[in-house]
Amino acid sequence: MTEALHWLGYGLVIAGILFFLAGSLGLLRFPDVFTRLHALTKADNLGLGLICLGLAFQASGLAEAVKYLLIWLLMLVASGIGATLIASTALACGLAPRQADTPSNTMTSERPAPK
Amino acid sequence: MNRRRWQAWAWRLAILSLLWWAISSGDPASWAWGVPAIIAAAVLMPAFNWHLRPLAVLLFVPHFLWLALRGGLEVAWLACRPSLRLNTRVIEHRWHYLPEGPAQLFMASLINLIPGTLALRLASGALQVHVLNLHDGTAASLIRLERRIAALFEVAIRKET
Repeated sequence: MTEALHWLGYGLVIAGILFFLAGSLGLLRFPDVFTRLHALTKADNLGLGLICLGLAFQASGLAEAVKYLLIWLLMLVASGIGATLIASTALACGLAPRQADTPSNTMTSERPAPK
Repeated sequence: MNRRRWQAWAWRLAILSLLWWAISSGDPASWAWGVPAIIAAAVLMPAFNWHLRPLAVLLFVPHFLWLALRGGLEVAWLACRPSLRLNTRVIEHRWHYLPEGPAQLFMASLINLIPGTLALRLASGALQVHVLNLHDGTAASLIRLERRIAALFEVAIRKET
């Protein structure tokens, strides 16, 4: 039983690492700050959750397992609130989100023309 | 002191004790520091004037985990796909059920963690949502999510409306 949980833990940690890799790839490939936030908040949080769950399965006691899950919970709160703060600040600074129907010749989001 | 305040205190002490137990890895000697710390934290904690239904929270957790899994998979797939064609849009989500205050803030933070949505700005009456890859079901799923969150905060909503 413990043996099986250990192997399940390894599997979950490896799956978590894959999500971190995908999130980092998104961070590099997505075109603007808003789409990059999607990569960070979703893929990385899921990756961290899988890693914490995997470690919790391998923990020596229940208290340690709860601690790992607590780490994930605090990260979820921080990144959920942080993402909106970054997005609304970027918006307030004049960065317009790139949208599908607006043609754009640069890879970064454009500032609106100064008035 | 009425019953609700006693209940709030019991919840606080229970949750803080659980936290201390986890942080101290269950070491019995640590409670000498733990008990004063727990009581101090419970006294100093800001009072919440809203109320979550414990059963609804328990039901919400698996739903949230499912959404988080789908969100992570979607972004991972979009990031790894060879062609980077995204149907990125900004949409307005009008509030249907939630009153102004903590419930709206909760939803705004939550939609950052679920498939394809990012809260841009909380305006009065509506929430600006950045959608990574818009499809037909996005607006409807936001309304469904809002209804679920309204169920979480039901007591507070009834009191305020």
